[in-house]
Amino acid sequence: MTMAEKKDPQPRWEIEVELLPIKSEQIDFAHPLQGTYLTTGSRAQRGYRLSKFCMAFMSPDTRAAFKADPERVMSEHGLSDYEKTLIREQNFNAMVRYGVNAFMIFKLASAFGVNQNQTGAKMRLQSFEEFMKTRNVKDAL
Amino acid sequence: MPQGRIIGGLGSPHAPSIGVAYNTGKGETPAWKPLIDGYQPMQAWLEARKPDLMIIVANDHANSFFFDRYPTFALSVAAEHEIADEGWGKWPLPKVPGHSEFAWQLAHSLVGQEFDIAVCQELPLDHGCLTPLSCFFPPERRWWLPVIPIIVNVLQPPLPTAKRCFDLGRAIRRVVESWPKKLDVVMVGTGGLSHQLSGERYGFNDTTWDSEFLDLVEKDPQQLARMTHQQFMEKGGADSVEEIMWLVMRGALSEKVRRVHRNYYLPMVTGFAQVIFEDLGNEGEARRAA
Repeated sequence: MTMAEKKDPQPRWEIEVELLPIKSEQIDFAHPLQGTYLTTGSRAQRGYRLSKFCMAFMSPDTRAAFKADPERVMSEHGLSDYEKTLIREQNFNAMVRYGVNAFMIFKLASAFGVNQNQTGAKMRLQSFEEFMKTRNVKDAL
Repeated sequence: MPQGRIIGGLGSPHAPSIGVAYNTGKGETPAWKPLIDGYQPMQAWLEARKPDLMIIVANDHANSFFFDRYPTFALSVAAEHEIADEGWGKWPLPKVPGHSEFAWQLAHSLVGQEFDIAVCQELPLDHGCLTPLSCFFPPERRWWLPVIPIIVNVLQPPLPTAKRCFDLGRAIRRVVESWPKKLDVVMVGTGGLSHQLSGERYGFNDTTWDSEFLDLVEKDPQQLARMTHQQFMEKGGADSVEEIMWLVMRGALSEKVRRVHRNYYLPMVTGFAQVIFEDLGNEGEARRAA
């Protein structure tokens, strides 16, 4: 039984599989890597609007506006309720599953004062302290 | 009479934390010294060999490009490059000089060799280029050397194959070697070795594979060029697929190279490696073409 066939309480798009029938000599879509959500096809398109929102944080004006009134900035970008929820909850794990590239998530996370490895710990569904126990040099941040 | 030549290749990580550590004087701290010290031989090599041009192969991190339009390969012909604001303010660095004269030739000759690269007249640089450049050029020596950035898509599949990257390097060598003026070129391949920056597999590393990669990129890069992206991602984590950018650098070098520097350090989430490969010229070229 492949992952795609398995009964899963989550919607299929939340797991590692690509929904489109893409064939590739470079990516083995039948055997997705666990804990890895490549922004291929359907995932890339689904995550596009939220990705674009993250890109807006390259502008100091957006960073200031978001700090002052995050709800207004999210609405101005036409985000869906689900996308807004992911942002309000800083649910970086779900953002990856949804189709947002890590480098875009880091821009958004920075607006919350959350650094790359704190973001990464959330992607791993771990506390930052738990994650840091797995690292070699704690202060090479 | 053509006078251009590739004199060597450098390999370097490009994680932003390294550039920040170097630029804020943390190079002497225990956390960073094992890596930052590894840039001293690279600085010394550049000063001793005095190349006329650096061609740096890096990826954009959604700063110069966005997924609305994302090129597989891009090349800058700009006379100078702005510093990108990645989302937390620009690094306080001077603009990076380009080399328009050679870059335009490179654009024509690469497309002529069927490498259909996007040509950029404006290309703000992010940490992909700025971390290695910061560390190769100490503050008082920025930037004594013009730089041509070549940007590779390693973010959103489909990515170029490892073989295509290696062959791009070979194509670059042909263009350099047909340049009519003196032009000593150093190639730079950038990127971390094992690492993954997203999903539950964030923080994945494999130091054994990293060591093997460094052996192979020196001695048998063709073996790496035959690997699929899936194999890179399985062995080294999803983002280690950026090792294909080291293959552009290696493809531009002679079949055999002299390694004069190799350093490896894994402090946090990415295997950081530095190498210097000296080019051994074209004695082996007949063999390579065969």
